[in-house]
Amino acid sequence: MIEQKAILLLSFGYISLLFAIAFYGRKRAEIGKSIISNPYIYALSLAVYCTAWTFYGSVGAASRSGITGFLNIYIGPTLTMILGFPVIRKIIRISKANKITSIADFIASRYGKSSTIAGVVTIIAVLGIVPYISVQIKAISTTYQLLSSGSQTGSLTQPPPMFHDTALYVALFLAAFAVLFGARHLDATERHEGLVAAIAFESLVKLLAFLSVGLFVTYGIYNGFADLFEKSSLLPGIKKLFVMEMNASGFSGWYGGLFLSMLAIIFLPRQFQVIVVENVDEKHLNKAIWLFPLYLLLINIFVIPIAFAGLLSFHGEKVVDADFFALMLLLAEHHNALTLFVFIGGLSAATGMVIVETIALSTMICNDLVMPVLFRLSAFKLSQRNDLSNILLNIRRAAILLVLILGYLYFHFVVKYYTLVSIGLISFAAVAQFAPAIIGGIFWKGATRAGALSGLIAGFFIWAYTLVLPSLAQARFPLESLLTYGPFGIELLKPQQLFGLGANLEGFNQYAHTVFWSMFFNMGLFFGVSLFSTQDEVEKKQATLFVDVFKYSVEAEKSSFWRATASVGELKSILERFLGKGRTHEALEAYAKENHINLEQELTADAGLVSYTEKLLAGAIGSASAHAMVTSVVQEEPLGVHDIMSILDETQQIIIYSRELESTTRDLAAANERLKELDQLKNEFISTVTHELRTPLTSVRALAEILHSNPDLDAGRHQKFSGIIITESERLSRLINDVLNFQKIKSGKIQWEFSRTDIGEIIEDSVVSTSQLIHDNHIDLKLDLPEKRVHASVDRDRFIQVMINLLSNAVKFCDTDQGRIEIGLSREPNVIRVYVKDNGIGISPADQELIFEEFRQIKDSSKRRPFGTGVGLTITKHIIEAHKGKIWVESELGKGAKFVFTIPITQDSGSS
Amino acid sequence: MIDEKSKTSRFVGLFLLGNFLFCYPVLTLFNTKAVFLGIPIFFFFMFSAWLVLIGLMIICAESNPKIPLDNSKSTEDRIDS
Repeated sequence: MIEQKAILLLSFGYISLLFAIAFYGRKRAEIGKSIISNPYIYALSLAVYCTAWTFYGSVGAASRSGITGFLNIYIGPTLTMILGFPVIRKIIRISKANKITSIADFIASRYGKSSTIAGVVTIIAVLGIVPYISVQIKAISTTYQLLSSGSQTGSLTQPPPMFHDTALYVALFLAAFAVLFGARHLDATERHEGLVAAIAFESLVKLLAFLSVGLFVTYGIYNGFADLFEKSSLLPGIKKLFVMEMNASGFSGWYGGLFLSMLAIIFLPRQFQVIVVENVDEKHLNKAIWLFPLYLLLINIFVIPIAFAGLLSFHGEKVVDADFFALMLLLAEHHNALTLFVFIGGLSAATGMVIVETIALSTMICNDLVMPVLFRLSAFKLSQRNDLSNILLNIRRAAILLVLILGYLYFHFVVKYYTLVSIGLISFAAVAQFAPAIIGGIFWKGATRAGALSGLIAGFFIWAYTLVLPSLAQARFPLESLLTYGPFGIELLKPQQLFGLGANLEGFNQYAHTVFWSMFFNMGLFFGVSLFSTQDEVEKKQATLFVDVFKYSVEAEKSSFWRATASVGELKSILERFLGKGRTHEALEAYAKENHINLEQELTADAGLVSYTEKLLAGAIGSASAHAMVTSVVQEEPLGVHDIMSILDETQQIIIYSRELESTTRDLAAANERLKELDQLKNEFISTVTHELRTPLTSVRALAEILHSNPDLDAGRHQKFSGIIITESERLSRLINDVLNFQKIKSGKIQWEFSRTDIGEIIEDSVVSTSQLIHDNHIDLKLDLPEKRVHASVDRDRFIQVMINLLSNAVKFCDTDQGRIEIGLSREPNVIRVYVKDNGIGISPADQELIFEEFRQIKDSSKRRPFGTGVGLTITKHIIEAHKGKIWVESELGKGAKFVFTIPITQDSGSS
Repeated sequence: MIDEKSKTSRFVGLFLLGNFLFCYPVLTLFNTKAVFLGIPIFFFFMFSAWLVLIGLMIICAESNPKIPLDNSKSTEDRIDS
């Protein structure tokens, strides 16, 4: 027994510490140095899942039905966390994109921002959670009594009159605590940094407390696990708990709990709050998905040892409630300090749950239940009031009080006759009803509002009828005849044996019974009605945004669903009413800055601003209410299916455009590269030409100077020098002709003079004009001309140029010692074919196309730069092409090259 | 090393494994009153299966698609330079 004063003092001291942590968390958040922005705090905050049910109730369950009696409640969440990456991450992403503030908001937003759905979800959540709240009230008041009186009083006897009941004061204390914690002022974002910090701390405290008592029992009272299990196995009553019951009840109980806890871990309002709404960074999930299951494992290790130790110590004592074995064992050992620590651990577990749960529920009650009603009540004239933030805050405070009072009443009339776990499971079964609407809603675009609504209502009704009603009956409400004979004597409709499915009597666990029927009707109606109903435009848009969130997330931020106009003043006044003047001013400033507009001058707001206003409001009053609020001031133009499609198309279009843009950019980059390359080539060309011009010019000048200054030069040398001058100047004029021709051909200014010409004669002429060149290089030339004259319609001068170009090209690359050039002409059915073959260095296949391009010269690092301008072959190609012919080269490196061209024989050409 | 899709697939596979480990037929396999290291085999199985599952989750969760991201970055750098 411990003095009441000490317990109270310690409790208040602990609560003050929590406030200090929360205050510190808030301050840090305000200066931008969040202490909760890391995966470890996030994982600890998820552990708000572990309430007094876990802290005390698990031991009770374990002492009644062994490990399968409680462990499924923790294995289920582990399995769900495995799906954290595909499923929870998606929910978080959607919520962030849509500024979701609660689970009701989430479902309502998915189904077209429907205030009806939001209201229904809120009612289900509040009524469903009330039993769970009462579990915490029971745990705190019972442990308080235990500590202060040393035994459990009044728990199984007649309840005390209400105003002498500790539980009532516990409920009021919790309400005050929750109000101070979560409803002191209004946040536009609905994120509570301080709260999360405090919750994470509480999770740490309860884990340490439970581990301490576990270690104390296992190693202090007994000599480790083996000793404890050995002593336990001596008692048949305990030994039978070593295994699970092999019957339908064990089976359905295991699966029922597993299934419910898998859903509860996300869909309990407080879990949704900490996992989704309070999530700082999606990446934290990556660590939390295994840290949190690890936490669950740790807090469960000593459940069985404590349960067995309790059974060993107190077996036969009917008065003792197995749920509180941990404290009872410590009290019996007179270990006061540890007892108080464990009491604080239990207090942590209970208060953590109550705070987060009531804050989540009060937000839902305020945003989705009270506000929509108040807006409709014209007598209240809410829409004309100026500052609503105080009203909002007071509604939330009242909602917190209401939830706790309901929790107390349920405790007072019902819970005393139940264990902690069995009451908690009632709440799990209630929130499981959200699963089809949410899971279906984020993966299936076809889910409709009507489907979700009918599924939710049916599931909720089955839950209330098969689970809550019997629990009330057992709490001495006059419902006996209904349970035994069914309504109006219809046995098939008996709440606990619905449609004849055995609950309890045939060993079918009552939770499994409820889960089966509620899920059957919930999912059946959800899918069935969805398939036979249609979505309106808002729904369609929301469905797409939710299901394809990973595709549209960024666009959704900016998507202006409103094709509407409103006055800036009106939007501003709405915002001011809910957010207050300061925050409104800040938010609008930010918007104006980002979009480079001056809101002072704008009279009508564009769709973007309307959308922005709605999102801001959604943070404060939920998306359904925000939508309704904004609709009231906006002259919305009717939005047809086509508009929706076009909004979605727009985002699609943006993607397509950006792809096109990318490819155009790539093209441009390539073109730019090409231009650079050409520029480079042109520069090379100019330097080549300059070089080529200068060399003959220099020698011409030098020789001319010799001739000029030595008039008495002998005739032989005179002859030789002037000969060189002539060839060099010929070379010069050839070069200049090349360049000019190239210029002409490129600009298309050339005048073609086609006439019927003997091709063989042209070849012979061109050989004559290059004979000097050939001779100088000691080249053996072979002509292979047919005996029959071959005629074609060509431009004679240009054609000679082609032959000279090819010949001089061949000379250029010919073998220096034993040069051999072969020229051939043949007549084929439709074309005349000419080739010029050398035995020079040859051309690699890669270069065979390139050599016809302007300014290209094959570079050979080992040899000097080939002379010539690099435009000869280009000119040749142009001329051949002007004759509708083709030119190509056949060559291999080191084996010489063979330039071949063909020109078609025209009607008037041919042999004669 | 892996992309988002195969990461998801791994988790789905792990989820199926988890459901298998704790399904009724498997539980009955270990449903014996015998003890191992002083601990009843059923309890021992429950906690070790759970721990194995968490271990596998760590492996899956920590295999971030970081490496291909870095790779693509360095390729870009190479193109730039």
